[in-house]
Amino acid sequence: MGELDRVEVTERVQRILADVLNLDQPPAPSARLVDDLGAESIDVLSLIFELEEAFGRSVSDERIAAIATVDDLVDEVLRAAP
Amino acid sequence: MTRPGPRRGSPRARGRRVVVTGLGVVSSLGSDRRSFWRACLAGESVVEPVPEAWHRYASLRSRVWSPLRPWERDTPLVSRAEGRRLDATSRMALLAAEEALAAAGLALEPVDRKRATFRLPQLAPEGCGVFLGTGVGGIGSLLEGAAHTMLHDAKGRIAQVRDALRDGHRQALDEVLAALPAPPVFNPFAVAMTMPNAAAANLAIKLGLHGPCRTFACACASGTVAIGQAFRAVRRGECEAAVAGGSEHLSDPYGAVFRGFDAVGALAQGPLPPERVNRPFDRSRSGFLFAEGGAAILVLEELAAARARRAPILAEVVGYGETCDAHDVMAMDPSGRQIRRALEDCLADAGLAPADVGYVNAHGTGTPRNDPVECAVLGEIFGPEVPVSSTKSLLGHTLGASGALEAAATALTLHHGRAHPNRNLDDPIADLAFLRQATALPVHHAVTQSFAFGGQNAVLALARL
Repeated sequence: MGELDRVEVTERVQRILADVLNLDQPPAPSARLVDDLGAESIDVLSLIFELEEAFGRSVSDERIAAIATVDDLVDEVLRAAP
Repeated sequence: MTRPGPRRGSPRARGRRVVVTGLGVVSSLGSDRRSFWRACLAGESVVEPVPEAWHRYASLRSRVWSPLRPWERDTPLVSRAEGRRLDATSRMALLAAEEALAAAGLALEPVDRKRATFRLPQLAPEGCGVFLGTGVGGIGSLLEGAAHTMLHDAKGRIAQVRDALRDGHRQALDEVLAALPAPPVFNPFAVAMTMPNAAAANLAIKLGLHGPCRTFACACASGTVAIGQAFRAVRRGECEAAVAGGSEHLSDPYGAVFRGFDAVGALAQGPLPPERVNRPFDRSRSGFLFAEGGAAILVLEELAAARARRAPILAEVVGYGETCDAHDVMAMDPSGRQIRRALEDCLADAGLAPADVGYVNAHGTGTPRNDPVECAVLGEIFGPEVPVSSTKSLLGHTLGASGALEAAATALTLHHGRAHPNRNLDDPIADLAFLRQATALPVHHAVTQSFAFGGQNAVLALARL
């Protein structure tokens, strides 16, 4: 996968989060993963798995654990090496 | 004619009585109880060539199997993301359990939306156990994880070499890469998907059941052992109710599980057309039909409690016998001594005489060695009159799920008063009353039996209430 478009990545990350966290609607970009969305450690594992498969990029679990919001997660995917 | 009711002095007369109040099925003949039973009575069977890709890896003697039709459906018990965290063995068990609980009139009350967990408000969670059989657990997940681990880096290197070659030389490496299927990402839930107790654990988690949660890995007898042990647990008061059965999923991208059975000559093969090659109890049988998988879950409850909540009752479990050949890990003891003892123990446990039994759901694999031993024992105990059929003549062999699917078929036989035929039986090997077509059978008692690689023999006796 070459250059990623931020809008498209945001939509896909939101869809993945909705699936992993069993949400009715995609979360807002400003939503906080733990405080607002209730993500737990098992969800983070799922999230990394789904993101790596969706984007073909290796996402660091240490960085994911430090991420606060959906927007931060989009930044991490865009920053990850193909 | 057979008689209902336990004999004086039998364990059944002394103890609590155990009934089947719900039943759910995933199978190649249908992924719900009604379509399964309709297809069984019609003598249907799904037999197709094995996936073409499997021939890349081995020269296979058997070339057919019984694949599942699309069986996944939306269920509140499995959230969208969980489909990726649960092996098919667990997903099938959950679907069958959902159907069984609904049939038993046991409502699911949501507990945690994100985790898609529930409770059964009509049952005390501490008094309800899970008893599940599986032969190989999440072996498909294990193989996929292993393939990623072994092949991911190597495939990347091969791809680099390929890209450096001129066009005309790339095809060979493209073919090598295509023959090495592996998931692009390692599934971090590989252990939780592979472990044999995962399906039972997921049932307990999803339904909030805090009683004993046991897994029985007894190869082809797993499902029967699970139901038998659940029956005993409810009868002796260890549990008020149990979710019991078997689940198995045997497909993998490489045909590795299939090859394991094919290599020892256990599978149906030969020149007959695919739909004729699976022939339990026929002189021209050649082995068992490998099935992709399946699951059956029964809800067992104590009779008085089931009646108190006006639960539908499909059948009563009245006896169980379990022995081990201690002879050979793959070959059945040709004397049939321990099979006979399991049957006799089961009948004694139920307080039944052989003449009380009106139907035998046989193990009936269709292997050259096993069928004559089973027939000899059935003839010795029941004589030539008792009706017999093999559910494996329809479904093929689902290993750890087979005993549960056959217990389901036996319960449905008693409930509906009709038994399914033994398919492809033209020239029987024994003088037994094999059913060649769906037959009205308004009998009171039936037995179903399973014999495992490993030598475990398990027999259940069921009764119509």
